[in-house]
This record gives sequence, C-alpha cells and structure tokens, in this order.
Amino acid sequence: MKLKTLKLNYFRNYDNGFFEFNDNLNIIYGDNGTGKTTLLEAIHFLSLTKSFRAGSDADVIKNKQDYFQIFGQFTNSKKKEISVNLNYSRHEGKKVFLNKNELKKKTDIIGKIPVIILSPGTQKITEGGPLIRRNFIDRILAQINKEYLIALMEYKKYIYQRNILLNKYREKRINKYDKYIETIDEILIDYAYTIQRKRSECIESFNLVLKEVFKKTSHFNKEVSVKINPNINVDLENFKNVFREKLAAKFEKDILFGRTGTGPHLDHLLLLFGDRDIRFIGSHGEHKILLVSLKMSEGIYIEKNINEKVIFLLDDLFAMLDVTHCMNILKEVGQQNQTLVTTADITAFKKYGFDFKKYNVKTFGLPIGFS
Amino acid sequence: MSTLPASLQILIDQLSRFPGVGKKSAQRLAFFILKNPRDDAVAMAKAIIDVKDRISECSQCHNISEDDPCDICSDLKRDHSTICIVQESMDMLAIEKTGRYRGLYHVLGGVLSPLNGIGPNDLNIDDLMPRLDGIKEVIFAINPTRDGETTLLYLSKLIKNKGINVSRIAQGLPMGIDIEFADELTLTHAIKGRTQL
Repeated sequence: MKLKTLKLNYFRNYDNGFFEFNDNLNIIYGDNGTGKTTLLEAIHFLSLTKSFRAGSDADVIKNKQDYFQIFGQFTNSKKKEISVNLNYSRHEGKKVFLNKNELKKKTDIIGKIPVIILSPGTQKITEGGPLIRRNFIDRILAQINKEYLIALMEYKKYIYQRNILLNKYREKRINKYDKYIETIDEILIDYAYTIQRKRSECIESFNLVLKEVFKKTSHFNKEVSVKINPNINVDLENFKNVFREKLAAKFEKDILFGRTGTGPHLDHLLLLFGDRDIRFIGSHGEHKILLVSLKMSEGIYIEKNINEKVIFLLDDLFAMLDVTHCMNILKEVGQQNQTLVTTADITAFKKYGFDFKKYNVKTFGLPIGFS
Repeated sequence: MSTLPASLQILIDQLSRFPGVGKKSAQRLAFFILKNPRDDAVAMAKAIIDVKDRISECSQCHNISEDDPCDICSDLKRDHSTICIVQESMDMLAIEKTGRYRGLYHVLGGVLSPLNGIGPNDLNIDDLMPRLDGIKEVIFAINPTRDGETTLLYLSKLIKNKGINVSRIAQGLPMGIDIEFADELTLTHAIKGRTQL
C-alpha cells in the first residue's frame, strides 16, 4: 500500500494541508510543534479510525472549528486506487468513506490500510505491564485473522457478562456452581480455545521473523524471542477440559473478587533477551532496539499474511536510536516499504552522508513553504 | 410553559409512553383523538380495557390468549409430541403464519441476560420441565443474539439428559438477499448449515 496524497481540513494545527508523498522514503522535518507528528496521526486515523496519541476525537479538531476532515488517496500492490475519507464533526460524530461509499461499520476499514506506527509512546510494549504486550499480539492477529478478531471480541464480552453475574451471585449470597454459569463457561471455553490456538501459532511464526529482523537492525550477538506464558498452560488437546475444571474450581474465589481469575485474558507475554525477560535485564538502549525490531517484524509479519505492503510511520526515530542504527533501518525499510519519518533535525542526514538520491527521498519542511 | 389544557396534556403524556412514540407523535395522536367523534374515542378506550381484562397468559405455554389453555394447546389435531420454544408471543405468531409447524409452543418471555439482570428464575423455565414428559422433539426458535445463544445453550443442557431430540431452526440467508451484502458471520453460518440437495 502506498499513500499518494493526503489532504487535511481543520486537523490539529492545519487549516488546509495538502501533501504528495513518494513511494519510498519521506522525511518530514521542522521545529517542535510544527505538526510533524500530526501528519502521521492523520494517516493513523485513516487506517484504524483513531489516533495513536491519547485523547478524544474532538480534541483533534482545530480550535474554534466544528469538524475535521482527512482525505487519503492510496494505491495497493495491484495498482488499484483506493480512497479513504474520515470526517468527524462535533454534532454528527465520525464517518468513514471507502471509495466514496460510507461504511456502515466504521471498523470495517481496519486491515484495509495496514500501517505500523513507531513512536516514543510505544516504548511501553517492552517496559510496561502485561496488558500492553497482550494488546500488541492481539492487534497483529486481529488485522490478519477475522476468526481471531471475532473470538477475541466475543470472549471479552462473555467475560464481562460472567463478571456481572459473579457480582450478582455475591449480592445474593449464592455460591453454587449452577447450570447458568456452566452455560456461560461453555461458551467462553470455545472462544478461549480459538484464542489460545491462534496465539501460539502466531508467536511461533512471528519469532522467525523477529530473529531475522533483530539480526539486521542490531549489533547485539543475542537471541531475542517472544514467549507466551499462558494462564492455562496445557497443550491444546487438553485445553478445554482443563479450563473447564479451573473455572469450576475457582468459582467461589471468583465470586469473592467479582471477576474471572482464570483464562487467556490473563496470559503473559514475555520478551526474552537471551533467555531472560528484558524488563528485568534490558538497558535503555536494548529496550529501544528491541522495540524497533518488534515493530519492523510486526510490519513484515502482517505483510506476509495479507499480501499487501504496510506503510511505516516512524515518529521521531532519532529520539529513540543512535544515528547509525537509524540510517540502517531507513535504508532497509525505505527501499521495501513506503516510510514516513519525522525528525526535528534534518542536518543529521547530510552530516552522515545519507544519499537522498539513491534512496529516493522526498523531504517536507514544516510549516509548509518554510524550507 | 405548556399552555395546553391539563386533560390534553395528560393524554399526550400517556401516549408518549408507547414504544416508538415521541413527544411530537404523541401530540399528533392526541389532537387526532380530540378532533374525532366521541364514539370513536370510547371505542378505542374500550378496546384497550378489553385487552387488559380478557387476555391473559395460557397457563401451559404462556402464550397470550382469551382462553386457558389457549387455542393451540387445546387443539387435539396438533402434534402434541413436539414443542417449539420461542422468546415472545410475537415470535410464535410469526411462525404460525407460515402454517408449516403443527406442534405446540412454549413462550419463555425473554432471554437470559446478565447485563439486564434476567436470570433463569425470571423466565418461564420451571413450567417447561413438566411439559417435556412424552415429548419427542424440542425445536428452538430463539433470536440468534448473544443472549439468545446463551439461553439456547442453557436450556439444551437442561433438556438433553431427558432423551429428547433437540434442534434449532436454521441460521442463514433471508430470501431475496444478495450474497455480496451479507455479513461474514451470517455467511459462515449459512455455509456451515448447508443442506444436501
């Protein structure tokens, strides 16, 4: 997928913005607060209908305006043109148009325009709690496998229902494992099985990609891998029976806490550096390199599965890595994929002799017309 | 401040309690009643009262009826060895219109819904169990929503031990639809539940 043009109306600091990108490397530079990240944010909106920065959709509207609009013109690997338009107004909410037709379900756009965002905020994947790492793997799988997306959404909804029921039982002082709970558990078990199966399949093949990418991007002579520590740690054959037994056995405890204390929603994902958890041993730099490798691998992995090139959005790459690493990455991805990278300092490229012609670079100085 | 006469305002408030009727529609209905002859209004009021007085639930199947047991439960020509379980009386009417089902019904009066606090004791499930003696087949015709599916699974668990055939109506494409516009979940069910020609 390649982004050809992007048009913005009343989006953050833009009144009207129009950008034409080239198919390889695009470098967006400018001082702080000139709207570099905003461009990446707009593309992220078109891909996933939301921002990668925190905050509500209304926060993105330019001051004193009522709406914002984003128009993107893409071409896919088969040279077919795809237009995506996302509008948000304070009164009417959000609307998404694919090739000028409004989508009934906005989420139908997800997976159509695959993008990978790497920003300083995504560092939490290697440093933060288990939820963020689970989301990382869930997002990959959701984009490439509809069965997983459905199973995951349904599983979460049934966990929610079960927890409400648990609270009701506690209020009524019921603690018998009855047919009603058993029914909900039966449904949960089926979805959980799909989740467990897909996660372990995904991680196995994802690791192959990760190892390759890590070798290319770093100079560390260490093996990296993602490992899943399932909450129900048994082989798939016995999964359903063991999960069923655990749900029943922990039922009284679940009532006490008002939530379900067993199942794949509590799986742990470990990032192993050598054979140890990076959260405990990783240096600042190692965290950063691993994060970049994870994100690159995510892109390649999704590509392999959906047969469409992803667009890389690299926000402030130089703030995360040293120049040599950055250059290596840009040379690598910039040739394979369309890449948009933001930086406050473009002179670094020149200083290190980055060949703009050879790598087909287009530069954008912000604010527009400033360069 | 409202300048409407008090009695008219009361009527509007009452009418706006109907499902799908908002303030504006209620106003139009109220003025319609006001402009029409008194006899019409009386007939309408009587119809409402009659419905409440005459109609009750059948003690066997919980269908709405003027008699107890209802016409269907007392019809000896129907197949008394098959029960179709539906959510509401309206669902039963829809199936009756097809004329293709000749068995009995059981109206649950809702579905299990943890979010809305509806549990097994809030539905007509206790009365269903004694009815199952001598029954050969139970057919589920419950809306394929998340709560509907939970209810279906729950009931089939209760019934299965009794050696009765348990089935559900087919899920798939409605007549006259274009396959390209069908959602993926429906299509998945349609392919799974394909029938031999």
